Amino acid sequence: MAAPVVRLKEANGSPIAMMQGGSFRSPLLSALLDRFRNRGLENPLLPLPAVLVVAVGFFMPLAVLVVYSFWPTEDGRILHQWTLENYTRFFTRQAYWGMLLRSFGWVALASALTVLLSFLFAYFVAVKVPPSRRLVWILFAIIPFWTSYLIRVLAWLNMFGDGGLINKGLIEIGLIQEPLAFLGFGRPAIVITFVYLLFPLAFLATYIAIERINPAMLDAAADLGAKPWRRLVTITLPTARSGIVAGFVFAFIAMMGDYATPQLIGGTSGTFYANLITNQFGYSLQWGFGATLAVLFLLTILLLVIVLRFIVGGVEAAGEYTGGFTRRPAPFLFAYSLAYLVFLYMPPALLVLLAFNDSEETGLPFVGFTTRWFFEVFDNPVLLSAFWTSLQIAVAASLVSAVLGTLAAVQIARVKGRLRSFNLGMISVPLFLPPLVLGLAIIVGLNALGIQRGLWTIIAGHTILTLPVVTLLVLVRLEGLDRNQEIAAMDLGARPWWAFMTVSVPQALPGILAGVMIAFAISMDEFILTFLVTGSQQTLPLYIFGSLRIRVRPDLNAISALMLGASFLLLTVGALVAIGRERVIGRTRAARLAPVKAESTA
Amino acid sequence: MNRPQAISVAPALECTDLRVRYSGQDAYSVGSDAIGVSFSVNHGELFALLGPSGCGKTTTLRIIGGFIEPTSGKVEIEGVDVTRRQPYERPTNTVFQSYALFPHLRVEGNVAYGLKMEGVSRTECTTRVGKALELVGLAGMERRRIAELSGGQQQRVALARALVKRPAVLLLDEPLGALDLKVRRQMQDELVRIKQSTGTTLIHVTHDQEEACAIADRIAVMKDGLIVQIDTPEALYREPRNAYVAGFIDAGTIVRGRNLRDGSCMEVLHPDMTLRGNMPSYLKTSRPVAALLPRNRIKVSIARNSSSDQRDGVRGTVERLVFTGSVFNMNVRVSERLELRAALAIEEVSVLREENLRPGSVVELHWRPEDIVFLEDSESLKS
Repeated sequence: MAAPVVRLKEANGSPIAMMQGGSFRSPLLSALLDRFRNRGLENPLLPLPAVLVVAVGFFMPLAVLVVYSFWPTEDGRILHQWTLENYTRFFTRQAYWGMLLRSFGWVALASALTVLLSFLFAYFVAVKVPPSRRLVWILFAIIPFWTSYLIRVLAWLNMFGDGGLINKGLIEIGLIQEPLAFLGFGRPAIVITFVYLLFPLAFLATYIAIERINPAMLDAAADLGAKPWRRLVTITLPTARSGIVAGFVFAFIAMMGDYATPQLIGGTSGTFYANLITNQFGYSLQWGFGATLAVLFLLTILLLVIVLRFIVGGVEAAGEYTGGFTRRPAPFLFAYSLAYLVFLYMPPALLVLLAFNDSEETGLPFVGFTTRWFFEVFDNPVLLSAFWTSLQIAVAASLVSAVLGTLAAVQIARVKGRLRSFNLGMISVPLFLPPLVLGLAIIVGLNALGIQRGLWTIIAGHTILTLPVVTLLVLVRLEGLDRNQEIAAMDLGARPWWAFMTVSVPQALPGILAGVMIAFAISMDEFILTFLVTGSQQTLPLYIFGSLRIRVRPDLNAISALMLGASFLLLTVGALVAIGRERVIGRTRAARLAPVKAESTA
Repeated sequence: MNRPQAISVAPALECTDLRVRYSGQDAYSVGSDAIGVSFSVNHGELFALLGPSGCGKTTTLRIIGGFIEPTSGKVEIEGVDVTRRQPYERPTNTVFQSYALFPHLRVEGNVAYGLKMEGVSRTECTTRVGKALELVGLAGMERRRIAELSGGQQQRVALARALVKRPAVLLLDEPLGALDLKVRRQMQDELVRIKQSTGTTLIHVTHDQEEACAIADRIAVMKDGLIVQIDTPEALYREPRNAYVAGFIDAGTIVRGRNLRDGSCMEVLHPDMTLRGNMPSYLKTSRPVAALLPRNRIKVSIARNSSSDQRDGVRGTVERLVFTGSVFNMNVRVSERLELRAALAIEEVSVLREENLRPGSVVELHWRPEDIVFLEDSESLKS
C-alpha cells in the first residue's frame, strides 16, 4: 500500500502565521497581534465611517444647537454671551408655550386617530387575510408611503377650502348649502391631512405587532369564554401594544416636525410649533431663540417617549410569526378595510384625473381631456434643472449610504456586546429624530464654522437620513443568513473575505438593493431638511413647494401625476416580480413534494 | 533476524490530549484538568463520536475541522500537525447539521464551490461534480435549486459538496438528525457504501446509539467532555466499561449491590436477587462493581407453581410488553426496588403465547452466569 498522500498546503509564509505555529508566543504580543490579525469582517474599523458621519454630521451640530440656545440674538446677529434669556422668553410669553401645548394637543390627536384607524385595518390584514394574499394587501397599504410626501399634501390641497373638491361636491349633491368651515383651510384640515399622510407608517408598525400574535392564543381565549370584544381588549391590544406605541410615536414625531403641511393646508390661522421654529431661522433671524425652540421640541419628544414607555412597559418578545389566520368572516372589518384603501388612493387618483383636465383652474368641474399640462412640464427649464439637481443628490446620497451602511452592517452582524449596541444606536439615531432638527442642527453648525451651504450640504444631510435605513435593511438580511454557510465555505477552502463575498453578499444583495432604492426614493422626495440646508440649489420638491405657495397651477398636477406614476410603476413591478418568483418556486416545490407525501402516507 | 523496518503509516487522524476551556468559564467544554480527549482514527475507518447533547462531541468535531482552536492539545492529519491551521488550510470537509447549503447557488454551484477554491479547471470541475452527485444518488440534478429539494436530497448535496474535495477526513455533524426514520436508514446504508467505495475516513457525530452502532467501525462514547470508552459496537454491547456506557447504549438492566469477590468469581448481592459470574481482568478491584443483565440474554418462561431454582434466575410480574417492530421489549417487576428489562424475539413470544405475557402475568427469567457483565459503577469520570 502506498503511503497516503499528504494533501496539506504548506502554512502560508506570513511572519504572524509562523509565529502562531512556532513556539514563540508571548501572551501580550499575541494579544496585540490578535487585535489586528485576521479580524477581517469583524474589524471594528468597518462601522467607523458610518458612525463618524452621524457623529460629525448630527451630534456635533446638535451640540452647537444647544450652545446657540443659550446665546442671545441682537439685530440678526448672534452674541457669544451665556444667558437663559431665550428660555425665559419662551416660558414667560403665552404665545410661545401656548403654541407648543396647542400643537402638542393637535398632533397627539392626529397621531391617535392615525394609529386607531390603521390598527383596525392592520388587524384585518394580519388576522383575517390568508397569508398567501397578505402581501398584496400590505403592498397596497404601504405603496403610498413611497410616493412623494409633498404631492400627497398637494392632493389634499385640492380637496380643502371653500372651493375645494369636498365642499363643492357636497354642495353639488345638495347635502349642504354653505361650505363647511372645518373643511376649509385650518387645523382640522391639517389633522385630516396628517392622518392621511401617516397611515402607511402606522399600519406597518401595528401590523408587524399583530402579525406576531399567535391565532391559537385568540382561539384559546374564545375557548375560555371570551367574546370577540373581550379578546381584542385582553389579548390583542396588550400583545400588540409595543407596535401601537411605536406607530403613535413615529407618527407624532413626523407630524410635529412637519412645517410644510401646516403652511400649505393651514391657511392663515393654521400655524404649528414647527412653523414657529422655522420662522426664527427665516425672516426673524432669531437663531438663538430658534435653537431654544428646537431644543425644547426635542425635550418634548423625549419626555413623551419616556412617559409612554413608563406607562406601556418595555418591549417584550411578542412571539413568532405563525402565518395562521382566522377563517371566520368579518364583513364589517372587510368593508372598513376596503374603505381605508379607497381613502388612501382617492386623493392621488383625483389628482391624476385633474392633471388631464382641460381647464386653467385646478379643481372640478372636469371640462375636457387634455395632455397639454404634461407637455408644459417638459418645456419648463427651471423644473427640468430642479429634477436634474434632485437626481444628482439622490444618486450621491444613496450610493454613499449604501457603501457606508453595508460596511457597517457587515461588522455589526458578526459581533455582540457593547460596541455593537453603540454602533447600531449611533447609526439609527437619525431614524428616530425629526429631519427638522437635523436640518436646523446642520445650518447652525455650518454657521458656527462659517461654511457656505451648497449641493454637498444637501447630499450630506440626505446621507445621514438614509444611512440608518440602508444599514438596518442590510443588517436584517445578513443576520437572517445561516452563519454556518460561511463556515461551510471556509471548510471548502474559501478565505473569510472570499467566503463573505461569494456566500453572504449574493444573498444580502436584495437587502442592499432595497436599501439603495429606498434611500434614493427618500432623497428624491425629501423636503423638510432640504429646504433648510440648501444653498441656492433648487431640488424638485423645493420647486414644487415654491410653486404651491404662489398658486396651484394645473401643470403641478401633471408633475405629480408623472411622479406618482413613476414610483407606482417601479414599486408594483418590483413587488410583482418578487411575488411571482416566490409563487413559482412554491408551486414547483409543492408539486414535487406532493407524490412523496402521498407515498409516505400510503 | 533481519527484518526490514516496517513502514510506519501515520493514522488518518490523531487527536492528542485536546482540551477546550472558553475564557470566563471555569469548566472545560472538552477535556478536564487531569486528562484531555485523545483518539486515533485509521484510514478508511468510520469513527463515531457518541454522546448526549453537551457532551463535547460537536466541539471535538469542530476542533478537527478548524472552527475552534483547542486550549491545549494537538490534531494531526496523516502525520501533519494542523492544530493551528484555519479551516480552509486543512484537508478536512464537513457535512453540517443544518447542511449550510448555499441557497443562492444551484446544486452544481454548491458542489463545485470547494473545487473553485482550489482552482480546479472548468472541465475537471464538471466531471468531478457529476461523479460526486452520482455517488450520492443525485445524478442529473445539477441544475436544481436548493429550495426545490427535499430534506434527504439536500443532505445528499451537502455530502457531495464535502466529498468532491476528496478530504483526508470527512466530518459529519449529526447529518441525519433532521431526516425521518425511513430516509435516515437509507442514508446510513449510503454512508457505509460511500465509505467502502471511496475509502474515505469519516468522523461521525451523533447522539443516536442505534445509528452509531449501525454504521460505525468504532465508537467513542463521550460524557462531560471526556471519552468514556472507545470500542467496536459489538464490544460496547458485550463489555461496556462502566454503568454510564451500558446505560447510554441501553444494553440492559444495571443491578447494584454489595460486591462479593472470590478469585475470578464475582457476586453482586442485590437485596432481591444475586448475580454471579466471572470478573473480567480489565476491571480494577478497588472501585465498586455493578452487574449488567443484558436484555437479549434473558430467557423468559411462564412461572410454574412450584418454586424453582432461583440461582441465575428470578421471578417477577410483567409490567409492559411492547413490540418495537423487530423485537418485543418486556419490563418485569421483581420487587419495588428492582425492575428488569428483557428483549424477546417474535418467535419466543409466539411460543410462550402473548396472552400469557400480559401485564400482571407472573414469569420467570433465567440467564447464564457467563452472560453477566461486570462493570465499573461510576457515573462520572471527572473525579
